[in-house]
Amino acid sequence: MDMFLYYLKLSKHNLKRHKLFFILMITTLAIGVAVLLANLAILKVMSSDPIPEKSDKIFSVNMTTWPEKNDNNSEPLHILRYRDAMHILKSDIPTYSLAHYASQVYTRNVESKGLTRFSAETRATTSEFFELTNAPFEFGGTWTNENANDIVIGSDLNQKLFGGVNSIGKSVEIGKQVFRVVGVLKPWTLKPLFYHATERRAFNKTDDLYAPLETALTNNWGISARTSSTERFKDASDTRDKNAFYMQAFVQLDNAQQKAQFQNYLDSYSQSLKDAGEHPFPINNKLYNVNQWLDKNKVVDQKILAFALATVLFLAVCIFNASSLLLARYHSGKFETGLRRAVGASKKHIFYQGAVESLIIGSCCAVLALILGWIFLKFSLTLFPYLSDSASFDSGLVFMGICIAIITSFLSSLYPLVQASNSSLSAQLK
Amino acid sequence: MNIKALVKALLLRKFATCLLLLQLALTLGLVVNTVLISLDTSKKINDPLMFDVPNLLAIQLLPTSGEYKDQTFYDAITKQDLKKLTELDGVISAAQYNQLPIQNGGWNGNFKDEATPKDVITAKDLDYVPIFYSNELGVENLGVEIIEGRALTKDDDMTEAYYAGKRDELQPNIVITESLAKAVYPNESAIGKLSNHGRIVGIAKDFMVNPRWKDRAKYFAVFGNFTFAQFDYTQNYLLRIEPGQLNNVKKHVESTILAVQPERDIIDVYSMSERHKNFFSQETGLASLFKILCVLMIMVTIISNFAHAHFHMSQQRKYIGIRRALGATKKDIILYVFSENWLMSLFACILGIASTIIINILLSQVITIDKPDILLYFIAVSIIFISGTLATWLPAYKTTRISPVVATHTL
Repeated sequence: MDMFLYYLKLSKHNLKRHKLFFILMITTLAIGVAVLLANLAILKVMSSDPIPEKSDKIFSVNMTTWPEKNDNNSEPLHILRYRDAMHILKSDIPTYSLAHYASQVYTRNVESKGLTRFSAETRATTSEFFELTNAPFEFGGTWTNENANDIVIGSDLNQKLFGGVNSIGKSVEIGKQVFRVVGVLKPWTLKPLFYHATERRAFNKTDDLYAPLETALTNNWGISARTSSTERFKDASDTRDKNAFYMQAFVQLDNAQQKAQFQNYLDSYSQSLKDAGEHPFPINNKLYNVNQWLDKNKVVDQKILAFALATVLFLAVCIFNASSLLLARYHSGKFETGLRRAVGASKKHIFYQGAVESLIIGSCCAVLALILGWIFLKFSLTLFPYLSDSASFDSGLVFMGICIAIITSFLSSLYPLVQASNSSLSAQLK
Repeated sequence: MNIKALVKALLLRKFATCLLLLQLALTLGLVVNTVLISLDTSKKINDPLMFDVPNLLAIQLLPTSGEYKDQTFYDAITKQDLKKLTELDGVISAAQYNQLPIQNGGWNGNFKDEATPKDVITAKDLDYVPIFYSNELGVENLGVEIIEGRALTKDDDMTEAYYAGKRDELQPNIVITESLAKAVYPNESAIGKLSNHGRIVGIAKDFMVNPRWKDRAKYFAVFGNFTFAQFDYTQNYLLRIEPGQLNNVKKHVESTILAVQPERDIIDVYSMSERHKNFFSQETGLASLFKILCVLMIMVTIISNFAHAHFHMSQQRKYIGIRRALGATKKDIILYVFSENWLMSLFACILGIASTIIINILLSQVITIDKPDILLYFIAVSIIFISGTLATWLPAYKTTRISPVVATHTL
């Protein structure tokens, strides 16, 4: 311990004596670590598992049921027709299943005196949505009747409409119709939004309002997501018996047997359609679990990935730079090292002293890197606004930053240190 | 200049020299690839738009009241909105659109001659042709000319018939763009032809519809005269404005619309130029990040160059002193120091070719990036040479002050 304190004192003295030199070195290393760290913060959010407790059990259902040959939809599609989705929901093989489409409505508390209506991102879905996605309820629960005017609202909307109180049983006006609140969710973050990871929505917030699919269709709530159709349809309710593909379906299959059974269930359905001449393609239905689904949709922004590559190279350059600076510094400090060796310090001691110095450099570098990294992250997010509320420095990342800073500092001083402690005593004293 | 001696001197500090070489090579690789990314971005942004982008103001809004489910109400309000907006000072014309040019996704459909047999496979880009529904001003309002046939007129309006449920009996008149006409009817005039979207009565000059699509597909568009009245579908108004009046008009837009009927959510009011800028925000964002990194990397390299020259020279004080004592002039010594840096840069340039190619290959795994070319490489090489020379300046100047007497100290 005494030696450690002595080394600390010695290093402090050294750092003070070569101020400009160490500032240069620490700054370059810190910039390298900071840029990497900011990038890692973004990548971490993008590549995180939104529902780790069962991401391998939830599957996106992709089917080949496109009815026309002269189109480019021969690959399994994640967008399904109403009747395909209904066939999936009918099955009792999955533990839970859901179908949904995205919409948007304007809502007003019927008791409010004003005419202000609040925009609500809406999920028209089925009642098992909440169990499958582990959506956390604050009050109430899901609806029991798929045709009822019952809705579940998110925490933000509950705040806007009802000031955040328990609003179960209260009424909301949407497009001249009255709806009853049966459930209110707690604040719910789901990143990436695996149940709607397509159309660049993977980093959108969870929805404000959830309503029964049938009710939404009957009320003609518009479809605000990718829709492909082989025939014209007038409005949402008109899509029930048309070849309009827009719904997404997810199922929870807890074991391999269930999965095999369900795959079989889908395939025999496609076969029956093919036999009836309703689609021309080979049977090809796919089930992707959450992480496979996010991978397939390239949720991790390829541009950020490209930049990550560049930041790693940059950090390498910073390490090379620091290392060559240190090497020069040990060269110029040869006489002092020699003197210390002459008065009894062993090679090991010289090495330890250098290691303590690199620890101090690493610590300074870590502090600076965290500050610069945070600034750089804020700056990066202004360039990629859709990620702005997603990425931030959490404790894991701060820890990682500190480790990277200390490791890089140690790495860059390794060779110069070995050099310094290995030089022969006589050569240095000459 | 004795190159052999220079190489020998560099080899005295093998490790430091190797580090600097690697560093220079990586910097070169990154500079070349950054320039490639930036050039590609500016090429995309400067792709001619060919419509009146600087003088167009877009408004996106949504009705919030269920009253708008009634199509006649919706239609009446829309007509009033457009009338009031057109009356604003500085506004040339105004129209509603189901979608606006320069966007991802959108309202697209396949486009073919009505007589095309069902099993004929058409070109892939004809499967996603943007369909624009607006009033008779739709094409002109964008600042796009009709080059053949005629523009749509009030008589072509199919709104009423559509909402009366007669869509399938309708044979609406449409206008299509030049590129689309050529793609579907390559060797004949498209005027008078019946397509799956209606009878073609006019050909509009090409304009940029979707900048991210390839080649001719960028300019594909179909125009019909139809006021789409879906109460939960975002409405787009586009105002064509006299030059220089855009900001003035912008101030009055929201109040004008809300004065017609207040139950509307004005989602956004922005110029078409902003829309274009935002469309490429991710590309420009990435290019900016790379540029910043590039500048940082060059700075770090300058520091390294400086340090390398500085410490190398201090190490060689003795030898320089001897050379001075043996008759080398100050100029000779400066040249010696610079030559050492240039030699390093030269080696780095050779290594840099490999690093440029490797970085390019790695990047091309995740983003589309052009292949590096020789001219760019030479530009990057000159940056490295200039920054290296600048960084060596001070140490070189200092060496000239080493007095020949130093030689006698150490003898």
